[in-house]
Amino acid sequence: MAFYEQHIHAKPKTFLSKYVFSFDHKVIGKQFLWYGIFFLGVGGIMALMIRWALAFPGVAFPVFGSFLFPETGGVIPPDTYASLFTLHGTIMIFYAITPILIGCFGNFCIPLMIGARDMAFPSANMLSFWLAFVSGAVLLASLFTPLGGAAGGWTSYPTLSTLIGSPGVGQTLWTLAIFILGVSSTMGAINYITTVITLRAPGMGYFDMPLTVWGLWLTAILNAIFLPVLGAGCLLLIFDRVFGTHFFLAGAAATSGTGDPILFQHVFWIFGHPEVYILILPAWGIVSDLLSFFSRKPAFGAKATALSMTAITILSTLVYGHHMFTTSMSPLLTQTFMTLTMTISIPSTVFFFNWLGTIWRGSIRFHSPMLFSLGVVFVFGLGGLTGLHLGTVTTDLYLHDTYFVVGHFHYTMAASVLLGGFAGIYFWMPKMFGVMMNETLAKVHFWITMVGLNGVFFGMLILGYGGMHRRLYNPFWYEFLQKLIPINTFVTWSAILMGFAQFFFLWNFIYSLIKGKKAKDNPWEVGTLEWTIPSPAPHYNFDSIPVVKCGPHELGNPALGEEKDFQYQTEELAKV
Amino acid sequence: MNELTGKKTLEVQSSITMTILLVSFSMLFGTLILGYLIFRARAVQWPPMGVTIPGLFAPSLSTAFILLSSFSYFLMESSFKKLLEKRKAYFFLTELLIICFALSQFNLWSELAKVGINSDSGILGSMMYGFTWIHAGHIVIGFLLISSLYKTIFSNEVSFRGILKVKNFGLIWHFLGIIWILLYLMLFIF
Repeated sequence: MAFYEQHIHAKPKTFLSKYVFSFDHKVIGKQFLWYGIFFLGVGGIMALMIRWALAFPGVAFPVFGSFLFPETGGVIPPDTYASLFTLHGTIMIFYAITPILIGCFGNFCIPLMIGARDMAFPSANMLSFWLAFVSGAVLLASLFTPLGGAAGGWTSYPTLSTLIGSPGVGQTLWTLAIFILGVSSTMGAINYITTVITLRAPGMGYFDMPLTVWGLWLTAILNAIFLPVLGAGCLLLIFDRVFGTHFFLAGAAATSGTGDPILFQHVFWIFGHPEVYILILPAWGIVSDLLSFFSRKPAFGAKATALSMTAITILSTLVYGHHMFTTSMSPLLTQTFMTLTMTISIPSTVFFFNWLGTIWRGSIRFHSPMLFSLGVVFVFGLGGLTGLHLGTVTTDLYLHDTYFVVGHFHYTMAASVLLGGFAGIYFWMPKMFGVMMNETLAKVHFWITMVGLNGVFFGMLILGYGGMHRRLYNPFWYEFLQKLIPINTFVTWSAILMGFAQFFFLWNFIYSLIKGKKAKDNPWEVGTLEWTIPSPAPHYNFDSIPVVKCGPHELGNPALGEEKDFQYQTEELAKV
Repeated sequence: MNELTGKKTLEVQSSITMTILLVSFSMLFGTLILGYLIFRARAVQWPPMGVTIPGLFAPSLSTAFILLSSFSYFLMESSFKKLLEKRKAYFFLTELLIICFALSQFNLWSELAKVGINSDSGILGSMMYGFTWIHAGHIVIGFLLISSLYKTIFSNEVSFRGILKVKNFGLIWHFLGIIWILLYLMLFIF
């Protein structure tokens, strides 16, 4: 008997109620997936344009260049370049990674993995997606305003983002779009948190939840607490731009009271540093589960991994100052923030070692989700280690605002999260759409992506160490940077290779949707609750609410005998 | 173990949601208040030279309206639970007091303009307008939420969901009252 019968909406019959304004968490998850993939493409093209300008300054952008920039003969102009890096960052972080990792996997996986029929508030869930849609439309509209899109960087520091730095409407629309997206994400976060606390199946304690759910849940907590901080900053920035207030405008007339541009940096990073973890926690959770599933072993130290993620969540709220070491902060503060930042290494190391412990002596199955998960272990290791240089005041003073920072955060926020996202798509594709993706194409996708990705981001680390600053339109005006042109060219070709690899994914994804091999109910042979139901997951998921009797990683138990090496969460734990 | 059932689950869901929502709102207004404290702590002179803060009448009137509306809401909520006829009158009274609060805010903004404080006149004007605008935006949402209770309040039966709804919207409204009092103290008293 179900412990709590959720209100069940009638099975949708029309196209609109089934695919557009759906209350079903699975459909909303898929909507976020399509939304994220679309913006991933847009952000990716922007990245290639940025890379083109850096590798071949003064050379027309191929194919589309003369159409997009006729006034410069196809060469990307400086103002467009500023807009490109601003929107590339914004789109990738807020409109690609967030919808895929949090919107798609959060919506699709949470109810299925905890044994619920839907989210706690299906209507708010639908509204959350459509607000995100409006936000995306506003952001895209900003590109077509008279002075072009926003150009103040994804951080939008004043004065770059005030009327002085960005006089056009584009920046205002950017700020509005981020505010709307914040409201959407906060609604989603409230839903996730409430769902996890109240709708877990009977018998499912917190430590019986898959680590994917842990990651998504902690992300939701951070989102609910810190997005409103960014929201406040955005509102004040809009007021400065539209109504002439002076929150972030400094002036000479100190006695009459003027604003402070640095205040925005505080507000932005109070949100911004947790944001790093908001993006990466779902990927960590997914990878922690997948490493166990495909190593055919229980997750090593699963409780410690969950607690480490919780510790990181808490610590992430206390370290934002390391983004601002160069803003004349008092030495006492810089050292405090540095120490707190270093403290994050402790729980990070714990769960990183747990990952290694999980795969150690496992019977590894190198299916595509596992390859991508192993990729995350590698790139997150690099991203984490390079973070130490930036969390230390002395080295940060040299490396701040260089390509080293760009390389570091791309390793953590782009590479890790993107690979984790692909791992999740390949893994849950059978349950989402009822089809399998082609494994050979998936493996080709993985290896080319890995080569390209490391070429791009490791190259960026070298460029930054060589002193190349980020956001310069043509860094090679400076003589000392001219020696870095070959590395820039290498990074650009690597980016092109990485972009090329994504066609394998796109082809595989679309072809599988149309003609893919029909998936079995449990093709990966794992025991979490979503694999106890048919593929694709049916309307309202479970015929009757499952009763959980064991943890999510019961694999390789010798008591199970020869027939199978895993057991479902609904089965009594096998004992010798 | 998660062994919540029926009404209890709804109650827990509702209290979790309200807690998170109020934490989110608090973070938004907390950010504004933190900004104020930083400016205030660093100011050479407060109010800035040449700026006169208007008399207390207009903001105090707003404070009185919002406090009364909270009290009236409280009376509406308790009479609704007992299904007393007075609940309908208290509903309209609450709505009226909210409208009075909104009008008194317009009056406050015009008083500010009269003494030369505009949104573009330095950080004090920015805060007086900016913070009260953001608060006003929330007031509009609060008003719409309370208006949406019409059916619940005028219904002849008290449902469990109805009680939760009235309680939750009340929490939001009382919270906005507390925020206004903080803004009143910050911007006009100290």
